[in-house]
Amino acid sequence: MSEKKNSLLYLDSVDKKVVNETIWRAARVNTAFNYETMQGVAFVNSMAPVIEEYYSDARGHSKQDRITAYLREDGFFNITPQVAPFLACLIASMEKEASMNPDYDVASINGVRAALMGPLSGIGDSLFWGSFKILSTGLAVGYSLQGSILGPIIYFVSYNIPSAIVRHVLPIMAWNGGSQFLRSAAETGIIPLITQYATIVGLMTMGAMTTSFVNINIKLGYTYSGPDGDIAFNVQSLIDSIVPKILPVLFTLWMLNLIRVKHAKPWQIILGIILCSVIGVVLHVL
Amino acid sequence: MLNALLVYIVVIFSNLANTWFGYTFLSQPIFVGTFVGAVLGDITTGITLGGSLELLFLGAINIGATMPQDSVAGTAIATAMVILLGVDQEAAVALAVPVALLGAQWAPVVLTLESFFNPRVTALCEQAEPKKLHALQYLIIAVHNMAASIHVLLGVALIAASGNSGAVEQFIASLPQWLMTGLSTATGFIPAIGIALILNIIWSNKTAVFYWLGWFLAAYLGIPMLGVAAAGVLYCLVNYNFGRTAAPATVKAAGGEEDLFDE
Repeated sequence: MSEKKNSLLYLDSVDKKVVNETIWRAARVNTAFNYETMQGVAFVNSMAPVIEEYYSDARGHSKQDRITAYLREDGFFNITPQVAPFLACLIASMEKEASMNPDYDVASINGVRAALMGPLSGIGDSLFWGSFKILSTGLAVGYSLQGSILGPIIYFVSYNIPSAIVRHVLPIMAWNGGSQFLRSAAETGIIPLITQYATIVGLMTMGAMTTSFVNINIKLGYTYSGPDGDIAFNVQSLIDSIVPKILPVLFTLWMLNLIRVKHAKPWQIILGIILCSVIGVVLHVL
Repeated sequence: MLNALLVYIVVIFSNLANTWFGYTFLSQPIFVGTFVGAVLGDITTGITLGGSLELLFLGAINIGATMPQDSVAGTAIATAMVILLGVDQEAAVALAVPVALLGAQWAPVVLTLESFFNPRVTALCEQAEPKKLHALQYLIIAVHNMAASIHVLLGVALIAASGNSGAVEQFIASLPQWLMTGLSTATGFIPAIGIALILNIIWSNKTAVFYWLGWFLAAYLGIPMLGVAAAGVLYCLVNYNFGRTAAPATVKAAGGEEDLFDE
């Protein structure tokens, strides 16, 4: 039993209620989004369970303490939604500590919140957009294109198993470990390692994905009428015979350059592509 | 009109099923196409279109607060056009691109207006009223979801209304062939933007070689995408077991290093 209590996943009945409620409320950060505080409305709401429990009158706190706590948590919040429960539980655990320790440096709560939104979003984005989404797309789209219901089912299952773990299991560790947990995780180097591995798998899959999902077909060519008959010459087949599928890769990297270095907006690029495609079709190049 | 309402409800359902349960991705085209197909009575077409549009809208990701393309509106309207009007699938996929670009103009309006709720949120914090705060969030959710998909309702209503008169078919048929072929050709290029937007999140000089490795395995060796992903996982396991000593340092270096494209 004592071993169980030392586990990072153990919660007593009071905490279980608080943590579960925090996780579910924080998972909904994107349900109430606005341009001013972004996910702020849902975030302060996700702090209500811990504030109501640990700043309650029964635990010797006044209404004024609760008001102070609510106002502390009200405001701008924006994070990759999949990792919001993790940060919410971390912040909630700090609120719990603060409620029990009058000397607690409450400024550190907002400090951790502000300091971690960016890095956690970075990890979340590369895991969820860069890896899980790409893998699910690769797994499922083939079935979808054949009209099979397996497509959406496989996508849903393959994407949501890892994300459910991040949404519902890791936050419990964050609650139990508090800020200490993140510090020790940073010291062992496990978080950057996971991010790097996810990045590697994502990059390789995207390299393969580029060759099958990006379709560039140059129709440019000419027919040479020689004495032995016509000889057709086509730019596309020439390129493909030397370096297969290089055009999609180069085109994708060019897009990356436009986004990353030239800071072009995606809608500008899309309009540009449509324009070039239409011109290309009219000139019989594409 | 009933069809337009059905699609509207389905789109709200998809968006809610996504955000309510913590980003389940149920508002991705692959699902929206399927759901819209199911309520309009042709699920197979919905699944197929959902697959095509999933690839097309690979880059419709909301990082930060910007959504370059409204993939939900694009998918719902394209699927409705095919099922209700019998528009050619390829034409519908091509038209989904401009529809999604137009549709993306609506969300910023809604999200700006929703800032008006913020003073009320702060007021409830000042009174420490968690129940009212919770209720307010429900109200915002209801307002947001109903307002955010109004353009889909209008779009599909337009399509449904023209069902008898044939106005939309005539409009599509009146578009010149070079324009439709151009749009179709563009749909071959557009997934590259999606891949580039995702690459942009995880790109670093040091790891770029893995992108080329993925291309090499697929283009020269003909390994399917999942085989390439498996190769990536295996590489990571090998690295974890035998070559890890240098790894954390590598990652630290990757954060501050110069970009390949920096000029």
